[in-house]
Amino acid sequence: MRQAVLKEPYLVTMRDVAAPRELKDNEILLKIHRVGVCGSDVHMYYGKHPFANTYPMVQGHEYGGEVIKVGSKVTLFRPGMKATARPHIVCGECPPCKRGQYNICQNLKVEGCAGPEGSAQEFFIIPEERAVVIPDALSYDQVAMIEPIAVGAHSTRRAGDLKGKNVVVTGAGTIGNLVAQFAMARGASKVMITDLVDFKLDIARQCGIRETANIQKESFKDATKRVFGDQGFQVGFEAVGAQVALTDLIASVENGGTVIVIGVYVQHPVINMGFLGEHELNVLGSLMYLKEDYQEAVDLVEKGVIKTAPLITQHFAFEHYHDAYKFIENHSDKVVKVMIDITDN
Amino acid sequence: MRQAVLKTPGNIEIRQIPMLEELKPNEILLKIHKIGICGSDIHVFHGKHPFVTKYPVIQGHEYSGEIISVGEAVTSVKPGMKATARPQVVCGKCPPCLRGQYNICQNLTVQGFVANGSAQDYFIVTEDRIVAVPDSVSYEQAALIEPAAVGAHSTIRAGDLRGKNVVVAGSGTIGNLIAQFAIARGAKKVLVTTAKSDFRLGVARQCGIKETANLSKESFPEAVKRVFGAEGFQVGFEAAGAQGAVTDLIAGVENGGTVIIVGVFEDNPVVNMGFLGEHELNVLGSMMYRQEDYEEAVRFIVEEKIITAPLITSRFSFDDYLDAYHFIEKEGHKSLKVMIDVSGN
Repeated sequence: MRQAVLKEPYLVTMRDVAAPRELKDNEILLKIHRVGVCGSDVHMYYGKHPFANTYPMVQGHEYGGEVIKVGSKVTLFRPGMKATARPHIVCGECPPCKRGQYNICQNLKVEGCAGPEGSAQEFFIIPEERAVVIPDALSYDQVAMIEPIAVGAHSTRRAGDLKGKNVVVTGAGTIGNLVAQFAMARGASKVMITDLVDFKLDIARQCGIRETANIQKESFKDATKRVFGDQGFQVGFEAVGAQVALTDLIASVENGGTVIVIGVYVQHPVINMGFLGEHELNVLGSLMYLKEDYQEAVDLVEKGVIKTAPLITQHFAFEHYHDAYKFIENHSDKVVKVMIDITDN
Repeated sequence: MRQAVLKTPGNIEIRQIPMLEELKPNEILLKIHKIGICGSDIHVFHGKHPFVTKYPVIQGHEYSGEIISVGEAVTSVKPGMKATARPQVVCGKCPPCLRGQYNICQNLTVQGFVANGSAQDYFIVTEDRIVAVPDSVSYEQAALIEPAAVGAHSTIRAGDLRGKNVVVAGSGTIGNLIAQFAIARGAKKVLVTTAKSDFRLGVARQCGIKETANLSKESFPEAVKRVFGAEGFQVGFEAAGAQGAVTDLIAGVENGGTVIIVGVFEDNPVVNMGFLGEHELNVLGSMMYRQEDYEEAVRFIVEEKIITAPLITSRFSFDDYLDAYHFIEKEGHKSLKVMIDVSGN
């Protein structure tokens, strides 16, 4: 079968590898239809991911596929069904795992990032425990978006009750967009999303996020004043991985407010500890998701609450995997989600 | 009456001022007995406090006194009682105040920093901020209720400490009292660290904090390993205001753990957002205290869950206020709480 491999930074090549091995009892064989290219994949491509830095790497942790075959003990999946799966490999034995926080397992490995190979190939084997049943009504494009949507589900749960709160999301890429949509779905009063690129803010509006600000054209302070008036905002989500976004959120969130850090930072930022301490802020990390986040993501996509179509800005054929990265490199202001079409349907 | 005024950084003058005016109905006149010098007073003395930039300043926010007279509407205390008071002047109208988080009032002014403090023979406080102190507590102990309340509040911010291992970075008065509170709240093991001063670790042990580490002699990971073994630690308190301490706590705390920021930073630190995000840490500011923290501090001091006597390492008379700062500058690592004896008894 065909497989795409990131051999070293800046080099994706296609190769032929052996057909998938025999399934174990609990395993599912997926024929991969779509793989989404994620921001952290791009960090890896540039050789700048803080943790995922082993090469060669078969990428692909956001994907949708068709069940081809199941092991003898698999109960929820049958051939012909659509599916995706969490890419977590966890130990089950460390204190976070025992608390149910396996997303921050002390021995966490992530397929396609830091750990075994991902799904950038024609067929992929997943264990049933990590697989998620997908209703037939979802397209394979939508299925491949469940992973980033689950990031939105999880990070908005980390923030506590959002009902009646004003929320700022910095960054209108895929994650920021989906975080904002989830914040709205969870009852936030007003949600403003910021970016430097109008194209991404347009997509945010197409997804139903009404309040947007291009902070190259309007200062962060002016934008929050325009959108929230005297009410300010109580929760911020940092989905860029940029010093300036973090600085703005920490300086402006209401005293006692919460800032959730989702973005991946190439360089560690400076934090104004005067604000953090004296305003008694809560700065919380959010990592990936749990199984229930995947399930909530599927549920809200099926109900049409979370919109994904406007986010998918380009498709590349499997054989042109490397071209996708080159396109992202040269057209970062025209890209949100790039989808790799492993199959044509 | 006498008043100590910090006219400009480094310059304290004792001057005579007129006796205070008549009391309003809700006010209480205190004869000040003892004033403790706090780390943030030292920041202000050197002109390096991040928020206090206007001089002259009348310092004094940790103090004890005797109630001399009370306004006609005051019901909770009477003349002759020992007391202290919270130095927080709040608006009562902003969102944090309306939520009961008046310690982070958006219009907070703190007596001794921006508003005038208690560095004078007599001082007027309002009844809503008064805290009565039982006779069995000495005036020196009563002057330590303020920093003890910081320990009470910050350990509440950390959530349930029962069964958790805790590291407190910083062995000054605040670090010491946080560690004592963590022990009192049921933490499993509590380690106090310092960057340099064995003297302060000796005081910590006299206060019943068994586990100490001098990081000029032992690395942070080694100390953590020695004290907690494979269990690691789940909660850290940063009470040093130092880059190294923030770095150590964020790198060392268990995935999903909590780091409380209590220290005042002259320079904003760099924070490893990879750890914060990918380990899903909770980095929480803690600001001063509320009335219930003062009351708990009094209760714990009375019950001897909190030991204060070893913390008081030097005493200066009111007229020698400036000498106290010179002493701290020269002998800081051999001192902890420096007490100003205002009344002479």
